[in-house]
Amino acid sequence: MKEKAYRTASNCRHYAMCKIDYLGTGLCASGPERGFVTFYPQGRMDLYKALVDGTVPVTPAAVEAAATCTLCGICDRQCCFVTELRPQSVMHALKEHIAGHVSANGEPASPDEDEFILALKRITGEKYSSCDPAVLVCYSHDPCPVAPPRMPKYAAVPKTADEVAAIVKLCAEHSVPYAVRGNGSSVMGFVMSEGLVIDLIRMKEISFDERNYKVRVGPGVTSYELQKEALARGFRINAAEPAAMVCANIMCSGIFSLFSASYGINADNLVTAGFVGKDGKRFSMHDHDSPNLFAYSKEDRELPGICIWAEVKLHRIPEDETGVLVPFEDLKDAVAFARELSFRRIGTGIGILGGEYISVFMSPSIELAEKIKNVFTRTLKINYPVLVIGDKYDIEAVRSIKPGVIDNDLFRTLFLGLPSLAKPEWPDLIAQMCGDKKPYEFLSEQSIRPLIEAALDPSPENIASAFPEDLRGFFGQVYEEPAMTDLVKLNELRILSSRMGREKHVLAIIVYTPADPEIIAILNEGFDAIGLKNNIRHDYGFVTPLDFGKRAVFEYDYYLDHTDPAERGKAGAALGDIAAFIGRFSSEHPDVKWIRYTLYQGFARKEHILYAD
Amino acid sequence: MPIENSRSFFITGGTGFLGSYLVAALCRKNYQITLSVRPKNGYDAETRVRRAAEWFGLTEDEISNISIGDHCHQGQEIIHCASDTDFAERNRREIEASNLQYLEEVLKMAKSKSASRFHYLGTAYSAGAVEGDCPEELTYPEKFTNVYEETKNRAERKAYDFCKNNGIKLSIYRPSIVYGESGTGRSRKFNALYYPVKAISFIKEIMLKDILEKVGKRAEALGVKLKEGGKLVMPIRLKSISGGKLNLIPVDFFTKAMTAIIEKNTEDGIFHIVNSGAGDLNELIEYTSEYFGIEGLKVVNGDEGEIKDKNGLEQLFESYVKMYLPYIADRRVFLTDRTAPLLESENIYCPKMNYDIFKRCMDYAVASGWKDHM
Ligand SMILES: Cc1cc2nc3c(=O)[nH]c(=O)nc-3n(C[C@H](O)[C@H](O)[C@H](O)COP(=O)(O)OP(=O)(O)OC[C@H]3O[C@@H](n4cnc5c(N)ncnc54)[C@H](O)[C@@H]3O)c2cc1C
Ligand code: SF4
Repeated sequence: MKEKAYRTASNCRHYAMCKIDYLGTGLCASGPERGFVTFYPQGRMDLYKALVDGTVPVTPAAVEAAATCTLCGICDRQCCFVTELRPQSVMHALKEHIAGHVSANGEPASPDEDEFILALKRITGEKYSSCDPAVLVCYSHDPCPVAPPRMPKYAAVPKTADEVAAIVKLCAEHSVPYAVRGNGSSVMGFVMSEGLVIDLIRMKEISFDERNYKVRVGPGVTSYELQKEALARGFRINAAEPAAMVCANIMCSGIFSLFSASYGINADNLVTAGFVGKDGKRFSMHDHDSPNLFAYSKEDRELPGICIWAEVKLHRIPEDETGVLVPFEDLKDAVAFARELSFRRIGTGIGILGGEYISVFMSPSIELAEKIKNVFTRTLKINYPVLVIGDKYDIEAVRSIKPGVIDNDLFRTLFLGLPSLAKPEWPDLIAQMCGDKKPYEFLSEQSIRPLIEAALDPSPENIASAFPEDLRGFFGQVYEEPAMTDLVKLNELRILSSRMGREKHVLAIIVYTPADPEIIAILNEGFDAIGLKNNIRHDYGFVTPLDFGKRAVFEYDYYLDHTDPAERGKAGAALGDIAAFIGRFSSEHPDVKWIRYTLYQGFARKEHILYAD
Repeated sequence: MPIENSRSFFITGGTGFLGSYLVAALCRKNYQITLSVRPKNGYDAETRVRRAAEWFGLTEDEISNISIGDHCHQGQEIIHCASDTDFAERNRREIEASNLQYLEEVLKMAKSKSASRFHYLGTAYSAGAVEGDCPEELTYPEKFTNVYEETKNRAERKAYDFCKNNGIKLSIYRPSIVYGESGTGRSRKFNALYYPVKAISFIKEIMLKDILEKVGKRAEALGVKLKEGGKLVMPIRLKSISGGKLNLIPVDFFTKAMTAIIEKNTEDGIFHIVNSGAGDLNELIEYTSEYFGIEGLKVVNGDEGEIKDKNGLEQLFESYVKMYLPYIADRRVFLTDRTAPLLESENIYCPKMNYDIFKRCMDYAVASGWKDHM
């Protein structure tokens, strides 16, 4: 029991999905109340592991973290949906551990407080700054294979921009280094510091200005929260990972998503933004005398300031919008097709997925994903489905260029019938009966739909049967909601994508590249070879064309068990090879650029990133 | 101690469907066999051979006649069974690699090891898209039904030219469509004849489930009904052409025939291993309907063109039938001037397909869950 809890706790990926209410369960109540990650399921998992490892002692914050868990079971549902982990066992174990300690040793004493923490508390209020190791340890590490843990001395969760400015000044006065943190889901060691971690989660301002097609957000607003609000008003924002804070996501990777095919990346995503500079003074991007955050250079840069608000662009949504998957066997054909669509301004969202993504995203379990990947790639020959989201004119155009698409109805049938699809009889039948047609062309024929439906028996209960028995009733209800199987909604809200890190933590390598099938194929082969050489699981991620088919963003993924030192070592070695490979390749092809330099230059104009040498 | 047979064979494709039957038969006759086998589906070469031997019930003594190796010995006979039986044009590259490029490698080996005879396992359908008599000779048809026929025809010619130029004796064997064992119904593979039958049985199962466990909406959309006595009506019209035949041979006949030819024939030659009493699609549909308790399957004459207003089930079968029509409604007649006298002298005759044989074969396939024993 304890061992299982420890294993679960060690396997938390820090993707922060327990910090957004994406299944309608509500949130772990103590999280929003206290702010610190320690009071969310993710933090309690880290805390339990640290207590068992002896990294931190039982402290007042540890006691409080255990006591404020009501064993409501929300985290079990949320985490199981994405990772198959069941955190509730950890919560039981944590409570038991703390109760055992307190009954043997009495209530723990508070840690000593220095001048800095007292000043910090004066700024944020007593509750929202801490030097308690049980709080700090949850900010001390992430699964990145090349970022060793760093225990901060302090953590703060400010509420207002004034508090942020005062904290920055205080740090300058005391020469305390700091890291700024959204939800920490960049998982590359960026949000750690030996000094102070400023966690912006409580800064949740959202105010719409529909007349000017923009919404002002605080740095604690996640993509999911903002997208939900925008959709309720008939608008959409360009959002990527749902648990990522919008401001952090812009600062870190510039927000690339399938919608970047039309909404763009980096500065395209916003109207303007406000910052607290290193000196604690504020500036806005649109001021004449502010630092030039639109600029970009191909080098590692420092944090230019803390983003305290951003005015994010709102996009209108046509009523007849829908999504289709256009299957391809070959990557180059898929890239050429996606580039053509982008060039001809067809489709709002375009992305070339791989067999890995589509099967992992759709499947509730690792076991099912493995089977479904085989069905998609080996049997149905759907190696590279191009997902296109667009209005009815876009979709008509797509169909006329490439007949044989998987429309949303068929997608829903496959999705809700996934456990039946994994049984070999049905896909084999399709493959055998398709004659000289491609299996996926055959699959998409309207006339055989009733047969497919009868064979797959698509229903919320069927897909729910892939979840653990005790959660099937709950997930059956979740899948009653049409949005759960709607290609447009799934991409706007992106609630499935973090499943990519379910089997193992994912290390995403992202490059901007010409939308050239040959170049992308060579890059893909190069990344593939590095995975093979280092004996680390690896797979194609996705490609999205940018800027009318001139450029593209390409993600390739490596997977590692971050709890295994040997795998961390291999991933570290692979990263070295990747850096060398991209370095070599981009010296021959200067248009190929690694996203690593976007960190802290995320507000740059995309033109400076994509087109300047 | 088994008596060692003086002839010895290097065999490619010896774990495939026909190859494995041949290997088992030759082993039982104590011929010495070298098998070229690659690891597949997570099984190493040795395990694949052993699994096949177990399925055939070979004794340890018989198995001891087999060795595994990539190269033939000096003077050994070569039996080249390896082949890709895929018809799909989209897989041309793989089919050519297997049916032509690999053959070329094996022919070169035959030359370098002075093979005493080259036995090439072809197909009756290398005759190409023709009608009427197909002799036991090399043919040069203008058109082929598909890439399989084309590559198998090119392969015969390649083998012929190569062997002629290098003084290697050559036998070419051309079976028609092979199904399981006529006496027991056993088979290691359920393709060809089995596919459409399996499709019918699978569709029947899901339609019944839809009718009995759901409200039957999908079955209704496809025009499928459950009749009072339990028979399921599946309205499927299959296109055929007048005078079209279906040439099926059981694998036990194939094995006996090919083994006999290997043992008795001393000349170069081409041998049609076919059924002189070929049946037709109507018979097969009759057997299938009877076996699965189905009504509504029927053959329509497609001489005048396509079937109009196809329903979903007909659409499902359309691509399949289109691809296999040349085999299920075939106007080719395979002559057996060379083969028939030889087989008759050995008392080897091909049984005509009938309901009993069909039932035995399907019983075995159903009991195997339609999963190949490969
Ligand atoms: C499974 C997975 C899939 C992903 N897919 C995508 C994708 O498709 N597209 C994409 O664009 N990204 C993607 N990401 C990357 C990730 O979402 C972003 O890097 C995002 O920044 C994480 O948000 P966060 O709030 O957790 O940021 P954090 O990890 O907390 O911070 C990221 C960086 O931004 C800095 N920062 C945070 N807040 C501020 C602020 N207010 N002002 C200044 N600096 C700040 C931090 O110091 C840090 O360096 C993915 C990540 C995961 C785990
Ligand atoms: S069980 Fe505890 S940690 Fe999990 S969501 Fe409920 S209160 Fe939060």
